[in-house]
Amino acid sequence: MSQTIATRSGAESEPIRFNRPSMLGIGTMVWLSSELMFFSGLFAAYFTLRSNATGPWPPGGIKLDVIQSGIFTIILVMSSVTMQKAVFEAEHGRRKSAIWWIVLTITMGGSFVANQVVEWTHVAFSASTNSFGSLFFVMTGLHGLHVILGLVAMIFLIGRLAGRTDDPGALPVIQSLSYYWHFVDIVWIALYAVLFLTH
Amino acid sequence: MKVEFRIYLGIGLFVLVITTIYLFWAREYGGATMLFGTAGLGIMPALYMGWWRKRMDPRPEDSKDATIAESQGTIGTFPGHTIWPFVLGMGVFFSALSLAFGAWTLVIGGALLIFAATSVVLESRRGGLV
Repeated sequence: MSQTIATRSGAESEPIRFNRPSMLGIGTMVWLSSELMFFSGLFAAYFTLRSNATGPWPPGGIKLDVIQSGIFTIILVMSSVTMQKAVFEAEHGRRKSAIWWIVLTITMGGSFVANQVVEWTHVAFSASTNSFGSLFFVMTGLHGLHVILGLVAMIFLIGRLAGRTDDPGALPVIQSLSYYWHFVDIVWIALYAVLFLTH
Repeated sequence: MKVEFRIYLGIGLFVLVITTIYLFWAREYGGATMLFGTAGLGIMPALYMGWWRKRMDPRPEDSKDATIAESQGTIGTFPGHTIWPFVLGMGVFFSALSLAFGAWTLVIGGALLIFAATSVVLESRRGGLV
């Protein structure tokens, strides 16, 4: 694909813009829509179990820390902002700056995963207590797995960005990873709303 | 991008209509959620391709009077035959087994996963068998 090459001397203000979508971008978008189906199945299971429950919902003994999870929800949303900033920096040729923004994203995403682990150990119910318990652990666990895989991919991406400076394939990779990260973020907002806020 | 955009948008909008009918007819949330996700499955790529449709150079596939000669040449580079998707699948298999057999199975599955993920990336970078 042809692209306007940013000048390497001094003022790199011309952003790299493609004139057609990258194959990786299209593929990532189509794959993310299949991931949307994956999470839809989990949400459907939640709503089905909830409508079939005989007693109160959530069943007795379920207490979730809404405020703490809310804080880390905001942190995850901010990590999406930093990821987008990293894409912006990479498009303008400032790879070192992009790497630092990705490092910040990894830090925030890692703190989110850490909070998930803390919540899992502190919560009063287990996956085998009742249906809400098993759904809670399965849904947040699978989402957390997606977050961890995204963080691992970001580490690979840093390795690639820190390499040869004339690597033209790195830009579609960072764009596609940003699509994935925004998707993971939006899925968490839906999860938080369903599991924590609406019950 | 015009044809792809229309196909995905068609799927998305059709399923959205079906979701509305289902929601008011069956009044059941589980199936409605899945149908809504299916609508998203159509609309998400449609939005992406629709965004690009307005900005990209027209391709031979997008014009009605294109000739075969216009789209000749290299289409792209694609990976060759490779073992790593199989290893990745085995890693996912053992990781899922850990739900039944315990955490020690996750060690095997996780190792296979990391091994396969690294190798499939490196293979496409370096070319040839890794």
